Amino acid sequence: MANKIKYGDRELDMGELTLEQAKQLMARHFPELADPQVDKKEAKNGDVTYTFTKKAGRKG
Amino acid sequence: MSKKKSVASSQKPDEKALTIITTILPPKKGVRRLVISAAPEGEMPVVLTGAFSDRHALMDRAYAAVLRRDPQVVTVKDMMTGNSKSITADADEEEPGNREPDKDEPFKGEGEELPAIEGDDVAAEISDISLPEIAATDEAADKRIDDAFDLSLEAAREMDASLPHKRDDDGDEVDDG
Repeated sequence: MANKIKYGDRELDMGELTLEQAKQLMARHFPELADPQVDKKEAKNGDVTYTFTKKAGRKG
Repeated sequence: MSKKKSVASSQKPDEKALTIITTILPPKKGVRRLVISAAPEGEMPVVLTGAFSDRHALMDRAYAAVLRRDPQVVTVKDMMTGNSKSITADADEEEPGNREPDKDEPFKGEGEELPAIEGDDVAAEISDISLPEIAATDEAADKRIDDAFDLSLEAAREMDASLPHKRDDDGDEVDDG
């Protein structure tokens, strides 16, 4: 069982990072992910993938 | 006066700065651990975790790993147009993962050695350290310098004492080196 982060077309093994630590790390490397939308997807084999996307801003 | 080196002028236009971020995690059972992530702008980082005492080796490994791998430029799908594009302007010029290494690149990813950069081993200048400027012309000035160093030493000891220290199974303090 492995936890992974997905952003765009790339994946990253989270290793022993918690989701909160992963969020902080991604925000530092990708400033647009300072307040990300995170979708959790669990595969049948137990692997969990957290898909990071930039939250759409509101215009106006 | 400290000399400032011009880094930007020696940088090739196709080279991107590499960001290495070190995060020290809260100690568990007196053991400090850290996370080192490294990546050029717009690329997925290499992430390494390890003991605080291995921080220098981890940083070297992260640096070498980024140079050794193919570029991992992140491309995202535009929700409006449905087109995929990289998240940085520079990266738009090249397809992710297909960049050929330049012939002039100093590090080819072979072996474990880090690239040697001329002038990279210059020690930090004393002007980088904030010490009170005291003219050492008489005895009183010498005494003030001694006092200043004593204060610095005492502050360093206090800071060291306030930090959590790694301990072995017997509870003895371990030097992180």
